Amino acid sequence: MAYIGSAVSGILDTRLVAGKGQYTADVSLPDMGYMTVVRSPYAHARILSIDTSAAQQHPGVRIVVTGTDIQQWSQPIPHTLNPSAFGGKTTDIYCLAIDRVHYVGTPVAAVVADTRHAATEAAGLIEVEYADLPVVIDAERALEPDSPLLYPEWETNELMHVRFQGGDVEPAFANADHILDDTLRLHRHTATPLEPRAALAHYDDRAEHLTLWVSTQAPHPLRTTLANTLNMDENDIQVIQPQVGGAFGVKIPTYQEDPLACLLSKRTGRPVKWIEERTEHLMAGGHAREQTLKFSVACQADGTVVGLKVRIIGDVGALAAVGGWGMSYVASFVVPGPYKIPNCEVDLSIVVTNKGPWNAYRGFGKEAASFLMDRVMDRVADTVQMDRAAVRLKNFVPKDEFPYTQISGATLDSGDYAKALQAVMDKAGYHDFAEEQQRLRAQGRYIGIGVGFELTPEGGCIPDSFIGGYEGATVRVSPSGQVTVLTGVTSPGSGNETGIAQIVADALGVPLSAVRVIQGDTQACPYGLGNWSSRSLFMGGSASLYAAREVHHKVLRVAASMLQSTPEDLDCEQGRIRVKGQADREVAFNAVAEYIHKRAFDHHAFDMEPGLESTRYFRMGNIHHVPDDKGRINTYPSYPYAACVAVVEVDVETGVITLLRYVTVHDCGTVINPLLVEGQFQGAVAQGLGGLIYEQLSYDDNGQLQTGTFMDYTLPTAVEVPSVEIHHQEVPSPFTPLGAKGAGESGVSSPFGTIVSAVENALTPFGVTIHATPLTPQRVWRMIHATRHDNSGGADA
Amino acid sequence: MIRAPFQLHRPHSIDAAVRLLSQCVQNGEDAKLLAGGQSLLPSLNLGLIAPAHIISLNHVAGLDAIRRDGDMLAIGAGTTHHALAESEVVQAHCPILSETAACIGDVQVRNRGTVGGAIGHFDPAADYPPVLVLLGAACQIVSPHGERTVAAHDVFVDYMTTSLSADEVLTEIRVPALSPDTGTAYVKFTRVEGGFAIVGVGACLRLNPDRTCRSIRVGICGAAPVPVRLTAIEDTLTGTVVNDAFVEAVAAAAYESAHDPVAELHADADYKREMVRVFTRRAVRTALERAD
Repeated sequence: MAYIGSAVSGILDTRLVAGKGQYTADVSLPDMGYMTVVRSPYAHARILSIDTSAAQQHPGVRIVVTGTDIQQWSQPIPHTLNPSAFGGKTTDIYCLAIDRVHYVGTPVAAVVADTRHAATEAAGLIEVEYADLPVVIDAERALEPDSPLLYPEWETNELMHVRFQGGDVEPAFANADHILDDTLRLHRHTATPLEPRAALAHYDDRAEHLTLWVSTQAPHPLRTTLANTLNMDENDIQVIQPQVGGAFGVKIPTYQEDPLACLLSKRTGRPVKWIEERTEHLMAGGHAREQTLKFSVACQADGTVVGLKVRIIGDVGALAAVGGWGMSYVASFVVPGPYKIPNCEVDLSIVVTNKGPWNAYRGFGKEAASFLMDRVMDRVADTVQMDRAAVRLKNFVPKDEFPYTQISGATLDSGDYAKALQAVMDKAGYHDFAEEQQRLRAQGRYIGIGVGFELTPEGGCIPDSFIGGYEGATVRVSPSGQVTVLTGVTSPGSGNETGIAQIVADALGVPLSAVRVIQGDTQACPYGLGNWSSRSLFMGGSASLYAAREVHHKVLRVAASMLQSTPEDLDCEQGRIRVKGQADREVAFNAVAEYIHKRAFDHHAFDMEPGLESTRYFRMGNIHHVPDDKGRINTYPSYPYAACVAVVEVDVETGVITLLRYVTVHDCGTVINPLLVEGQFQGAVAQGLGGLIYEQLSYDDNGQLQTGTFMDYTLPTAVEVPSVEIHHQEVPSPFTPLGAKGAGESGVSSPFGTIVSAVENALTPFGVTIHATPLTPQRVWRMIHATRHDNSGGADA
Repeated sequence: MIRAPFQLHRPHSIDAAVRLLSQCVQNGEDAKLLAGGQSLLPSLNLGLIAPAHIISLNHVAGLDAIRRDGDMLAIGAGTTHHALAESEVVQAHCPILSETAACIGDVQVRNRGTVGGAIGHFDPAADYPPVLVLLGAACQIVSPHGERTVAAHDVFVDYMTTSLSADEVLTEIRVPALSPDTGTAYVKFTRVEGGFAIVGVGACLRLNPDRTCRSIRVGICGAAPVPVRLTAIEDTLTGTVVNDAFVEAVAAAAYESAHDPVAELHADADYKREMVRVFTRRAVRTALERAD
C-alpha cells in the first residue's frame, strides 16, 4: 500500500498546467471544413420555409443542410434516458429541428465551409421563415389546462409524473405536534466548463471508416448512438476523446452536433470541425436546477420528524435527447436523504417549457434534495426552538441500520452521519460561535453560521441504458516491465488516471512512473461507460485492480519458481520481488516480465498461460433492478455524504454575502488520493456557491435568454471562493474491493442548504427567511429592507 | 471568433493615424481605433460591430508617456491601466487615479487595456469617467483640423456616446496634481472581483486646520448614463464641519442625483440608487480617513 491513500500529484498536472494538453480544438486534419449551426431566435415557432440558396452560392461553402435533409439521411438520436421507459412521454429528436422549434437556440440548419468565417457568413445568409407560436416559460403555468403545448400530441406539458410513498403519512400528520408548509424555488443555471463542446469528424471514404475526436465523457456509448443515428455499423466508427477541459455532466450524452458533424463529413468526403461558442453553450449546451420544491412536514415537540409530503415541479425546458430531465427524477428519488422518515410521500411532475433543455450537471438533482431536506430540518428546528444541528442529529438514519432503504428504493450503503456532523461542528467551532457573533453585531457586523448535510448517491445504474453499474479495464505488462492500463472510464480533467495508476502500482508492486493509463479511445480501450456519477475510480479503479491482481498472480508464480520459493512468501515493492525476510533472494519485476514474454517455454513459465495481460470487469453490488415487494428498485450503489458548516458575513447595507469559511467532514469511503478528492470537493463547493449566489440563466416572458454571455452570466472568481477546510471520515463501502465510494461530485449540493442557513443566522435580527435562490445582493438587500420596514416603520439610510 | 474581415492599419505616428482615420471617414467607411482591444475585441467577437478598417495605435511611439507638466500630470492615451496604477508620479500626485486604474478588470485586462481606450469606448460602468470628471481633467484631441482640449465633463455626453467626432483621436489626458493633504478614494461595487461597476464613487477631500471642509469633490458612475458630479453639495458643504452629518449630506445628495440609473438584470434602478448612497458614504469616509 505504497501509493493508495497518499497525496500523489496528478500525473498529467505538469503537462496540463504548462498548456501542453491536447484538446479537441487542437486536433487538425488536412482539408478540414468548419461547421456552423443556425439556431432559432424564437422560443416557440413553426418553421414555414428555409431558403438556403444564397448560402449555397457563398464562396467556400461545401454543404448546407436543413431538417428535411437530416430526416432523409439519418435516424432520430437515441435518448440517453428515454422518458417513455419511465412511463413518460417522448418525442423524436433529429440532429436538426424538423418543422418546429421549442427554445431559443434550437438547431435548424448547418453549414460547412472551408473556413470558420465563410461558414459563419453563409449561415447568416440562410433565411428561415417562422410562424410564432405562443410561449410558456413557467412550469406551473405550463401545467394549467389552457397553457400552450410544446408537443400537442401529448395533450399536456407534463413529461412525466412520478410518485413514491412509504409508511402511513396521514395518521402521522394527524398525530403530530406541528405541521409546517413551505415552497422553495431553485433557479436555472448550468456548469459552463472551461472548454466548450467540440468535435472533429473524419469519414474516410476509402476505408469506409468514421473517426470522431470529441470532447465527451462517454466514448463507447457515443459510438453506439452514432451508429444508430447514422445507419452505420459500430465497427466502422472510432471515437477518440482527447483531453477534456471540464465536463461536469454536460458531455455525457450524444448531442445533435456530434452526429451532425459526422454526417456532414460523410456527405462532403472531408473532415468537419465544430467548436461550440460560449453563447451557444449558454443557450443550448444544457441547463439544470430549476425546480419548485413544496413541502409539508409533521414533527413532534422534541424535533422528531414523523411525516413528510413533498411536491416537486421540475422545469426541464424543452425535451432533447440528452436525458437531463432525469435530474428531476433523481431529486425525488433521494428524498428524504440521510433522514429516517418512514411516513413520507413524494409527488413529482416533470414539465416541459420553452427554455433550453436540461442536461446533466454535477449534482444531478441531488442538490435539490439536499437543499430541500436542509430547509425542512431548519424549519423544524426553528419551530420547536431547537438547535438546527441537533434536529438533524435526532433524525439521521442511525449508523447501525445500514443498509437502509428509503421510500424510493434508494438503499443507503454505509455511514455514520451523526459522527460526521458532530466532527464538523467541532472543527468549525460551532458551539463557540455565538459569542463572536454577538461581539461583531455590537460593531454593526452580521456574521452567521449554518449547518448542512448532503447525501450524494453515486455510480448511478438505470435499467436498459448506458448509465450502468459496471466497468472494464485491461492491465498489460510489456517485456521491459512497463505497465499499460486501458480503461473504459475516462477523465474530464479530474485526475482519475492518477488514482487508477496508484491502485495498479500498488497491486503490482511497481513504481508509479512505470504505469501509463490510456483512456477514451474505442479502438484501444475495453468497452466501458465513461466518466460520470463519480464512478471512474470506484468502478474503473476496481476493474483495474482485478486485472492487475490477475497479472500479478502470474508474475509471482514465475518469480517464486525463479527464487525457489512460493508466491505467498514473496514481497513485491517498487519493482523488486523478494523472499520475505531474505534481502539477498530477490529478482526484479522487469526481469520476470521479460522472462514471461521471451521464455514462455522455459521451465519457470512452461506450465502457465503465456502473456502478461488481463481484462477484467467489475460489477457493482447494491444495485437492485428486480423490484422488491413494494415495487422499489435501487439505481445507486454508493452513498457518500458530507456534513458541512458555513460561516458568512452579510453586508446589510448592500446585501452582499461573503463566505468566510466552509468546513466539511466528507465520507467517500477509503480515500485513494486525498489531493484529488480535496481538489474535486473544492471545485464542487465553488460551483455550489456560484449556483447559489452568482450564476443565473434568466429568460424574459418571450423566452429570450437574457444571460447569453459571461458579461451577464456571472461566475465567481477565486477571490469569492474560500479555501474549503476538508476532513475525511472513512467508512469503507462494503461493495467495493478497496472500500472506495464515489468521489468527485460531492460538495456541489451542500452549499445551497448550508450557506442559506448561515445567511438566515446572520440576519436573525431582521427575521429573514429564505425560500428562493439565487441570493443576489439585490434580493438579499430587499429581504433585509422589507423586514426593516415592517419592524421599524422606516427605511434605513 | 471575429466574424467579419477588416483591414488592419498600423501607423507609427499620430499624424498618420489621424490621416488614415480621416480617409476612412471621407470614404464613408466604418473605422475603429484599436488600443488595448479589451472592449473592441469582444464587440467584434460577438458581431456587435463589423468595421471595415481597424487602425491600431499600438505602434505610435510615446503614446504611453506619463509626465509632470507644471501643476498638471500629462498621461498618454495609450497608457495601460497597469502602468497608470504603478506609476510613481501618479501615485504621488493623483493617487485616486492609481487606485481607480488598479481596480479595473483583472490582471490581463489591466496589462492590455488603456486609459484612452476606456474613455473612447465609454461604457457607462467604466471607472475612469467619474474620476476624471471630479478631477476636472482635460482631454487632448487631434484631428485633421488641428488639436483641441475638451474638459472631461464635456467628453461624456450620453449613453456610450462621447463628444469626439468620427475623425478625432484622443492623445493625452491632463489631470491636476493634487495637494499632498488631499484625501482621496475610489470605491466600487461589483458582483465579483474584476467585474464591471454596478456603482463606482470617487471622492477627494481637503480639510482646513480646524477640520472644516476646505474642498470636496465627488464623481459617480452607475447613477446615470453619464458620470455624475455633485457640484451643488460640494459648494454647499465647503467650509462646514466634517462629521457624520456631513457624510450623510453628501450621500443623500448622491442618492438624489441618481435619478436615471441604467437598470441591470441583478441591479434595478431603485437598488442602484440605494447603492449610490451607500458607496458615496464609503468613499467620503475613506477619503476623510486619508485626509486626516
